[in-house]
Amino acid sequence: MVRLTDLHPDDRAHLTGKHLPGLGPPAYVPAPPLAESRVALVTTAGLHVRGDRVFDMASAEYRAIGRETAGGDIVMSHTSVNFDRAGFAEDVNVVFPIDRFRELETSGAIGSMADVHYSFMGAYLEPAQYGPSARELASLLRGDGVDSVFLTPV
Amino acid sequence: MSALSHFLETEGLATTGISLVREHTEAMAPPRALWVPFPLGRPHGAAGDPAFQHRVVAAALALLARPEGPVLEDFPEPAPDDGSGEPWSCPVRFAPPANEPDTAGAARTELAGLATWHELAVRRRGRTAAGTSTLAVEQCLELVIDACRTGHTDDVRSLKAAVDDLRTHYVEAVTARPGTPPAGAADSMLWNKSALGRLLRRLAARGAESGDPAMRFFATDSLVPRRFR
Repeated sequence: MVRLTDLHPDDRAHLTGKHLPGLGPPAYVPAPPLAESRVALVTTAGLHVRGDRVFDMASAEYRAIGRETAGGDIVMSHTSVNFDRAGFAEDVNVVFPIDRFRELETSGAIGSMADVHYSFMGAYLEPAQYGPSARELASLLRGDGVDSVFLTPV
Repeated sequence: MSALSHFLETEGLATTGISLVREHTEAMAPPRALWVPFPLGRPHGAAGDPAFQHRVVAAALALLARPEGPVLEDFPEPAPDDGSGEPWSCPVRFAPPANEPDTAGAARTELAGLATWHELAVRRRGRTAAGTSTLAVEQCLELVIDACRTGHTDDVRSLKAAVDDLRTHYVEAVTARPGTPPAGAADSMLWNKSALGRLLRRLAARGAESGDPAMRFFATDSLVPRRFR
């Protein structure tokens, strides 16, 4: 992003006022070589498949997005109105690069992409409130054979 | 995002990802992150530019090979223009509000006038990003007009979805021509020029006085962007 100093004063005040507590001892898991990795995309952009439940105003839930989901079937119900949406309207991949990961899989740059990818809606909750659903998601990802996760905000 | 990275890593999954607010990432120290100098809403920098998006993705994926962390690196390239070679211009001419005693009526007329541009936008992209509600945009507008008149709704979630779809419809219409506008430009048209923007501001004012906490939250925090209040 442009630096905080470049933002509208109200947006800057909002972002600098966020409470960012520590989350406990840091973990650092070695990743397998990319060409052998099975990678899942996880975003906090409030995305879901058209027709799936929209996100509540403040929610630590996640929604599943299948690997074959077409970009045109992905919509956004993020609570925040304080970021640009014209880029997403033009091209899903500027937020959620699912086509780029299909290409990486085809080229062999990554071993494979997960069968299912996921979206949270990152807003209004303290970071620790995502813990239970993140741990639940980790179980689903491991069940899919995923070893590496690519996280993207909005 | 940093929190998810932390929790997934503690569950044995290696993570990497994009950081948009460097100061937040510095504070949270996720295992691996690539800070990018792009606007909020565009974490991979450039719509319709697969080569650029691949460079961003590759730079973040490369962090997975680091033997120890936390790692926070900066992506070295600025956001490119959209590559079309044409400066963005809004094709829609919004009517000035001077003779507008009936904002709801003006918004209905305005929405009808966007149809051509929206159809062009959908044809060009092969998709619409609207669809968080299950309503047609005309129905979305009537929901907003009704809530604006009464200051109340029985279903804030549906009202928000209707506003989301209207906003997306407008953004798509004003970006019907090739070329992605600078971040925030399409929103600026909606909030500074359109009858819908004036109607939504009125809804925000009415909703802020609601006895329903969900409506108040929606009206004050999730309706009008801070920079346009």
